Amino acid sequence: MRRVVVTGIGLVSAFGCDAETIWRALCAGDSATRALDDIDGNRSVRVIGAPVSGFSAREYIDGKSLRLMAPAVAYGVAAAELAARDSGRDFAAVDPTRLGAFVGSRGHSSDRQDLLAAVRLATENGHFRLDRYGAEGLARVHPMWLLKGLANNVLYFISLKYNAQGMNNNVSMGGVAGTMAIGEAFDAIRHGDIDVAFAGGYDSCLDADRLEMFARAGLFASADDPRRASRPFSATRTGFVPGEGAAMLLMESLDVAQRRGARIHGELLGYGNATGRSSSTAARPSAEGFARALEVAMTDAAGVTPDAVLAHGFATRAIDEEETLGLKRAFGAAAETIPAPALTSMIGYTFAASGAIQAAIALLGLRDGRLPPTINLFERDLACDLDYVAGTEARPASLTAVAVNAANLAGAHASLLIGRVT
Amino acid sequence: MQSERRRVAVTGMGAVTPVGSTIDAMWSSLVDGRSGVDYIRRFDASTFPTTFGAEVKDFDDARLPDDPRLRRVLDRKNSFGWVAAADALADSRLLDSPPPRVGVAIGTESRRPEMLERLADGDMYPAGDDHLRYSPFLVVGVLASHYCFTGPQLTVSTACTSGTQALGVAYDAIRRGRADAMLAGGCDSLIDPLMLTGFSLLGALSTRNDSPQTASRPFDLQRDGFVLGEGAGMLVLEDFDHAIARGAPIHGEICGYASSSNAYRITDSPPDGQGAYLAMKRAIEDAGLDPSDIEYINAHGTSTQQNDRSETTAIRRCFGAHALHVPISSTKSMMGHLVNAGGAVELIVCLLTIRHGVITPTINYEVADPECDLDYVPNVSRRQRVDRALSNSFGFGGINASVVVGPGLRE
Repeated sequence: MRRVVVTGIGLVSAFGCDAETIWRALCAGDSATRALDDIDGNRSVRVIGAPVSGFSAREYIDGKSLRLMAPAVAYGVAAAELAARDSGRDFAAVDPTRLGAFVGSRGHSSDRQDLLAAVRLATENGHFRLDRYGAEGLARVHPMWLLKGLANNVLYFISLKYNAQGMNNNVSMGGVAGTMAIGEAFDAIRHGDIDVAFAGGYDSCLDADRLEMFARAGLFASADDPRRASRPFSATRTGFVPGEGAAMLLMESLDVAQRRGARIHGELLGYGNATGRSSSTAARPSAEGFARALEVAMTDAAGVTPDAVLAHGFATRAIDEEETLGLKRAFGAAAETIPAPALTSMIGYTFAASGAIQAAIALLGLRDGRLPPTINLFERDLACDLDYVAGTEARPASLTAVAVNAANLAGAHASLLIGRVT
Repeated sequence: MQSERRRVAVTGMGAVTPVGSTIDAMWSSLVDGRSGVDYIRRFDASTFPTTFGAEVKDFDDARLPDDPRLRRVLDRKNSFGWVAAADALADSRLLDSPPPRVGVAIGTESRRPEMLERLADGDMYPAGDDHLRYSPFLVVGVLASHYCFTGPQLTVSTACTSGTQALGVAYDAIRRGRADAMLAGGCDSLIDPLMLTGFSLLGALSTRNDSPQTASRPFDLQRDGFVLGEGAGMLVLEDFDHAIARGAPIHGEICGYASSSNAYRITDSPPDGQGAYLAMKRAIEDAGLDPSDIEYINAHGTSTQQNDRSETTAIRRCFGAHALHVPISSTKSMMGHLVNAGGAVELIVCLLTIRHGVITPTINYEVADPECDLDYVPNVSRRQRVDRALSNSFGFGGINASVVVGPGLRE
C-alpha cells in the first residue's frame, strides 16, 4: 500500500478563512460563539451559534456558479480552492482520471425561500390546495430549486473546477461525514485507485430549517454570556452550539507529492469507521463505538498510538461521557496521559465539517507541537475525568501522531490517525 | 495489488420495487416486460405537468418493526429500505453465524414530501417529530443498531448514482479487509409533490400523460424524459471464503467497481460520454477483464434524450467492435427511475440475469434512434447465457459508477 500525505489545507471557519489566523485564535482560546439575534430578530428562542466570519465567496467562486450555491455549498467549494492554493499544485499536470474528490456533505437541502411564493399562491384560508399548487404554484418555484439543494453539489463544483474525473464519493453522514470522506479518500489513494484527491467536509447548522429543527429538539446550549455557551466535558454544559464551516485537504500519495517537491503537512496513518453495539433501537453514540473507531484506526496505522486526540466534544452530557469512556477503553490506563481537547468549545459543532476541521487543525498542531485548549471547562463532570487541556492557552506537546474523533447522532463513529512526516 | 484482495460474494438480495416487492415478483414482471408505471395514486397529481410515476403498490406496512420509535423515524423510502434489508439478510442467512465485522452502506437522501403543507401551515417541525427522521444517515444507523453490526457504516448521496456507489463502498470495505460482510444498497421515494416539482422544472420528466405505461422508452427515438419511481434494493456482500465456509447461498460475485466524474455540466451528459466511459473502463479493468468479456450491460438508460445518446457513445468508446454484440437493456423502461435506489436494484437484475440465463428487455422500444444504434434487447426478454454483466449508474452532478458482476459457484 502507498503512503498518503496532505499537501494542502483549506479552512472556512468562524475565525475566518486563513489557516494561520484560525490556528492562532484556537491556540489563544478565543471563542467564536455569539448570540444570533441578527439572523432572525423575531426568534423567540435566543440561539447561540458560531457563524462563519470574514468569508467573501467571490474571492474563490465565479458569480455564475455562486447563483447555484446555498451558503454552505460555497464554504465547501471555497475550502477546496484554499487547499488547492495552499498546495501549490499545478492541476494541469495531474492525470484528471486519477484526481478524485471525497466530500462529507450535509445532504440534500431545501431553500424555503424558493418555495414560499408557490405555497402562498396555493394556500386558501390557511388550507394548502394541491390542485392549485400543481396548476399555478409549481411554475413559481425557483427553477433551480432541486439543483441548489443537490446533495453532491460541492463534489460537482470541485470536479468541474479542477477537472477531477477520478474516484469520488459524497458521504452524507452528519457529524462523521467529513471524517469518513477523508478516510475513504485515504483508502482510494493508498490502494492505487487515484493519486490525488480533495477530501473534507462542509456544513451549516445556521439556516432557518436546521435552527428550527434542533431548537425543537431542545439540543441547543444557552448561556448568559454567549462566548461561554459551548462547554464540552463541563458539568455545567447545557447543549451544543450550532456552527458552520468547511475544511478540505489536498491529499496525495507520498511518491507523487515528493516527485513534485511538495511541502508536506503530514500523513494519514489510519482510518476507523465503526458502530457501537448499543441497545437495539437506540442508534446513538456509544463508548463502544468511540473505542472501536479508534482501535480500528490504530490497527490500520500498524499499531501507532496517538499522542493526543482532538475530541468530538459534542457537549451533551450523554455523548461527552460516552466519549470519555470510549477513550479509556481504547487506550486503557494510557488514556490519562493522552490529552483530548475539544475544538467545539471555541467554534461550536459544525456537523459534516467537524471531522475535516479537526483533521486540518491536527496537522497544524503536529507541525507546531502545540495543542489548542478546551475553553469554558471550569466545573468538571465527574464522569469526564481525562485531560482535555482545560484553560485558554495552547499547550506545547511533543506530537508525532494525533487522532481525531467523530460521531453522529445515529451512532456512527469514525476516527482518523494523522502523523508528522519526518 | 488485485491478488492481495479478498473476493466478494453476494449472498443475499432483497428488493421493493414498482414491479414487485419480492425478488421473485420483480423478476417475473421484468421477464414478462410488464410496466410498473401508472397515474399517481398517492396524491392528486392531476394538475401537475406530469401525472404519472412508478409507485410501489403492494408494500406491506406489517413488515416494519414493532418498535414505536423506529416506526416514527422510518419514512416511506426508509421503510422500503428496511424491508429490502430484512429480506436480503434472511436470504443470506448471515445472522445465523455472523462474522465479527458486519457493516452497512446505503445510497439515499433526506426527503421531506410534506414540506409544502408544512410551509403552508407555518409549522415545519411539529412537536413529537424526531429530527433523525430527516437525516440521510438515519437508515444506516438504525439498521446497524438493530442488527448489532459493529463494522463500518456509510451513507452515499450522489443522486442517481448513490446505490451503485454504496455497493462500491461495501465491496471495497470487504476486499480491503475493513469488513467481513456488508449490507449494501439504496432506497428512495420520489413520487411526491416536491420532487415532481423539482424534476419537472428541470424538464427531466416525461410528460406523456395520455399513455403512462409507454412513457419510459429508453433509447427509443421518441423518448421525452424519465419517469419517477420509488423502492429499495439491498444486497448482502460477503468475503467469498467466509460465505463458502458457512455454506451460504452465493448469488454471484462482485468483480470490479469504479466511480468517475464528468467534470462537465451539472445535469447534462457530455457528448463524448467521457465520465461514463471512464467508469465502465476502470470497473472492467478492476475486475481484471477485457471489455469483450462483458456479455450484458444493464444500462443507466433513463429515457432522456441526452443520457441515452451519451451512454451509447460511451459504450461504443469502451467496447469498440464488441459494442454491437453486447446486449444492453434498461430496467427503467419498466420500473422508472428509482434514483438513489436504482443502481442497487439494477445490480440485482444483473445477478438474476446471470442466474437464470434470461436477459430482461427494454420495453416501449418502437422507433430506432440513429444515434442509439446498439442492441437494446427491445420489448421481449431473451434467453441467453451470461457470465459477466456490467451495471451503469450516472447522476446529476456528473457522478458515474459501474459495477461488474460474475456468477456464483457455477464456474
